[in-house]
Amino acid sequence: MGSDDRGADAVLPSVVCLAGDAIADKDGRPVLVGARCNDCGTLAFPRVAVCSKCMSESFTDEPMPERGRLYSWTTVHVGPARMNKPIVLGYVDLENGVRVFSHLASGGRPLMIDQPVKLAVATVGKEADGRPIETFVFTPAETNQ
Amino acid sequence: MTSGVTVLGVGMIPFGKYPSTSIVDLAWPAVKAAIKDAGVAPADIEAAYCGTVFSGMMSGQRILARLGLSGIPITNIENACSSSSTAFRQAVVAIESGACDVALVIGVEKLTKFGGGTLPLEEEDWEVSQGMVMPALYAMRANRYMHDFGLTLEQLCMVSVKNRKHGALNEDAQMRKPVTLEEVLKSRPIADPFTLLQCCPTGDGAAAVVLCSSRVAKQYRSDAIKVVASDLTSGRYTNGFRDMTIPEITVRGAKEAYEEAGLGPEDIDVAEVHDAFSIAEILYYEAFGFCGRGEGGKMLERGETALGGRLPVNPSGGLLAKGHPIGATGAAQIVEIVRQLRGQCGARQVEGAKVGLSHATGGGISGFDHGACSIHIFTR
Repeated sequence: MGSDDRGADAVLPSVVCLAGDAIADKDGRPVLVGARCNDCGTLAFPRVAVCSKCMSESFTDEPMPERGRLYSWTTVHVGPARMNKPIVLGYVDLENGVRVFSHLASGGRPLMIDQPVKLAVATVGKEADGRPIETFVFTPAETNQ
Repeated sequence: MTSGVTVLGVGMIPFGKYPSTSIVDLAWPAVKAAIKDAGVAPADIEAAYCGTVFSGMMSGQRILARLGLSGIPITNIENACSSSSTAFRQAVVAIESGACDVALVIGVEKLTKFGGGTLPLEEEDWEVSQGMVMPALYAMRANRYMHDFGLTLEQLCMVSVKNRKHGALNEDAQMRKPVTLEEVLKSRPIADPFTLLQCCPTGDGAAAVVLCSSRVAKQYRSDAIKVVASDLTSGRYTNGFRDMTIPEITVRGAKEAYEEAGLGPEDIDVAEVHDAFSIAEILYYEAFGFCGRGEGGKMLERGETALGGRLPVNPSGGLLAKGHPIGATGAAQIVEIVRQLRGQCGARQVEGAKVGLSHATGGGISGFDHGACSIHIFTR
């Protein structure tokens, strides 16, 4: 993950994380980190330097809810060689109203529009030098508790 | 507002794959054809606008230098798939402002230089950095629409069957062979529910248009086509909920264009809309008010948008058959509408067409339905 990469100046990270510092580790669980505008309360994901509502540059990091609803999705059979195929992608509407574009991992279970999903991390590809590519994914959630 | 601008001349090269042809050599034949068709002297052209995405620095200057057209203001415009329709709109604005009387619009693109695959998007964009590709974006629209409105896969594939049938009648189309429903269904999967034949092909092309103020049009020709609406808008950014079954940028643009023209969907005789993928055409029937919400599939199935139907859509073959060299698309749609309104389209002529519409929208970036949308309405 991104936080691990930053310390390794001269050494290539052993894992490539597509999401950079938009994903963090919280007590052993992944969390997406966005920002909340200190002036108007607008949420952003990923973090931004200026608010798209009020142009404020004052933000506080905001952890995103780990659950949401799958608005739509698709299985893609083309794309960059470094990505595992097929690539399953979708839009997830989080419980705070933010929409997140994400890889999906169904673990063999069928995906359905409007189904509850929850955050995880998974390997989605492999660099030419063999390092795995990781990013956040959403997976089917048993309930929407 | 646009009663004062007319189209004098149009030209294009057949869209296709020209991997060994330069941008300049793709474009100058289209420009020369448009100038000849317009009946203007090259020296009459006072300004030029060139729409392209991947052609590099000073595309318009490089192209026009080859034809000896230099020393005039030349503006290069990038607006994704709306690049040359935006260029056309800028020419309309310039003529209306009185800055010039005669202007040239060029659209050009060479996509074969990327060697295949999906359209390269801007890696700086967040969603693109996470793996977004254009087929995925449209496929998510398709899946949500099918879920919400019960559109069938067969209905979706019928867009390709119709447009390939139209393209077979267009010598400028990249794909000239008609396809069956079975062939569309069984072509290789790209992004579910899309198979290959539901996606526009990769290709190269160029198109050009000469426009002028109505004031001077009669010096050149008596049958100039009037531009009665010229609309450009951008998408509305949100990082929250968006209904992907409603292309909001096109809905808004259509409303603006109809208001400007003083016309409505019932007045349109022929339309060229942005069918980059099969679902798009169905969404745009609804966005333009050609049918009600959720009724696009049935409208298509009834043959209403095929040649011979109530409102033929994409008689050129559209992006799916004519091809989609992205910067050239908007200008090429205008070429088709102008030829339709002049009655020059032979086997694919929409009989008695008096009012035509063109629509180019695009740009896959985070937080937008699309980045840009340009709509034009023409009358004869």
